[in-house]
Amino acid sequence: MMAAAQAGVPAPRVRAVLTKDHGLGLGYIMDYVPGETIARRILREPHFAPLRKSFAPQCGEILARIHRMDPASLGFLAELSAQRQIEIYRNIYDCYDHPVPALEVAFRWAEDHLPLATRATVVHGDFRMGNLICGEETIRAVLDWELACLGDPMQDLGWLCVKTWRFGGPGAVGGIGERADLFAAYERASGVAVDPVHVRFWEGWGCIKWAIICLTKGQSQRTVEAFAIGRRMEEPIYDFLEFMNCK
Amino acid sequence: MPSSLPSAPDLLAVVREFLETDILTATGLDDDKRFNVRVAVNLLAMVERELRLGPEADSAEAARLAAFVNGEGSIQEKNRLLAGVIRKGAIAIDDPQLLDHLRRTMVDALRINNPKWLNEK
Repeated sequence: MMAAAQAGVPAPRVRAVLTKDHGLGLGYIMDYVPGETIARRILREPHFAPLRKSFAPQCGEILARIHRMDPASLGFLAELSAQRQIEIYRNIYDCYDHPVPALEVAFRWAEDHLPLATRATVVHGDFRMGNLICGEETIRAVLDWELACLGDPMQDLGWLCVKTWRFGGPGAVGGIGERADLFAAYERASGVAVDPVHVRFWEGWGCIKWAIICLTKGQSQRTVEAFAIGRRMEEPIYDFLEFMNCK
Repeated sequence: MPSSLPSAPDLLAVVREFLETDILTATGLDDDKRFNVRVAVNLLAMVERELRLGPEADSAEAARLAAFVNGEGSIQEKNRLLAGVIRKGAIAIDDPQLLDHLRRTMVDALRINNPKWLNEK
């Protein structure tokens, strides 16, 4: 997050990183960033209208900045190709021994549609509505960097468009923007052409990944919230089947 | 299952209604607890729907599964077999009958877990 802020990504300024001597456990202290993260407010409240208009291009510009970050100084980031991600999530799924035929189709689809010839850059890994502090006009901060890794930058664009992160809104980008605007802004800011078919893989894979995360949540923590997320597994699987249908 | 009254769906409904009308409207409930009570209300409503819709969804799923796997096993056993068939590549993943079956299965699950999802575009 500190490196991202230095690279011009809107991110909270880190004031102090805790050490053992502080006696407070692991963590850091960052600036307070005023704004809204709750999607249903950003999607519906009138004063966010200017943000809604420029949300997709802003996301494109921010993602281009993230993907330009120098990985040399971020040696702690794991390299996660699409293929590696599929292996990891298939292993998690297999561990639960709860065979779901639709997920078997989904994993096979992912293996059949692996993107070829990808670049590897710094990627955020969880760039979506809900992890962005928004003002009335601009995205003020990108949060939740713990899934950052080195990998195919197109995954950040695809994940942002996964239907779950549209929170009921009509636009593919976070419920309020269009893919074309996201792609155009990204291309302008990065100088890298976006292949919609390539992003599509990551959107489809995003559904599958979210389904497995739901499965995991519902089986790991014994809380009402986690159990409720467990029962959300069919949402992305249904979305994936619809998605597969309209190739 | 006992045939006692009130029935299980009614027991769930009365607990859910109690939470909705007496607990969620109370003042002094902190935001975190309020959120969790809302989630709990949703879970109770989900189980109510499962009791109501589950048996029919199960028999429809079992009937559809018979087109893909043989045997007399439970739905779980048949799903395990079908999952194996798909994994080893013995059926095409764009097989229309398979996709139709999977889609119906997800629709029936969503009717229980989150019916609103089916109305979202």
